[in-house]
Amino acid sequence: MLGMTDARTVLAPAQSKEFVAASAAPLILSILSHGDSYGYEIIRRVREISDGEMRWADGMLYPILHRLEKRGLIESYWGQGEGGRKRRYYRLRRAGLDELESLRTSWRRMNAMLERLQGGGSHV
Amino acid sequence: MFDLESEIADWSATLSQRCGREADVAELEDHLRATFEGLSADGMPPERAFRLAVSRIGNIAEIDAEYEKNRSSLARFHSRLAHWDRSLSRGSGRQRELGLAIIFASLIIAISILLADANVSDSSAILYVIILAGPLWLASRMLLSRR
Repeated sequence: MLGMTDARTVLAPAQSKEFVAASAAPLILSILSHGDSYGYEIIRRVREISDGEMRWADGMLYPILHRLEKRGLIESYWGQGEGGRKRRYYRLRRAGLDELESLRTSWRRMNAMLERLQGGGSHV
Repeated sequence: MFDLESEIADWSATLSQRCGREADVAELEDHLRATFEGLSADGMPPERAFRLAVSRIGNIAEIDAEYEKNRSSLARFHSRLAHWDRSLSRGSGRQRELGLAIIFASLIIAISILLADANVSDSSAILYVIILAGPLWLASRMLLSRR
């Protein structure tokens, strides 16, 4: 039962593990730049803005969040969710904001390069 | 009759056995409950909502492997040692002896390789064996006697 995955959690070919790992950090940091949040809400938001294209196995988000915390980019604290149960929230730190800016620049540059190559890159 | 609380308790217990860290389990359990509540609010029957919520979390072994990457090499060594200790303790006396024999065989091989590389004289070789094997023997005894 625990090892079961349904079709939803299986990654589409374009979303290899590497792609998910690389794109998760800017997405998470960006979501947290709008305010503190928690795992379930972050995943819901990612699904929403990607029109359901981005499909992570939900549980995979948490080790990524913890890694970002270990790097000092975000910090976590325990609060109360619905029904008064314990919930772990995440908050963006100053270093995380800087990292987000630099990641945005990198992805923008990468995107511009791809665009230029596609538009008849004569200098390749 | 489907009992959500007992299903969640079972799920958490299985997760704890694997991943161990209480805070991580609590966090994933909150996620499971939130997913379940979301699906129930959409009108899905409880049992189906629970199964789907569990499958959305994904493969526990894969998630645990991701958590593992976050741990320091010392913590990783410790968790592997604890796992190995548990499997040894579960075994019968004979299996434990076999385990011990394997440990010592590998120790002797490791020490021989070390000494061959170090190119030391016979008398200091014996000294090295005592220095290396003594604490390792004590450590393995302690590990095996702990239950």
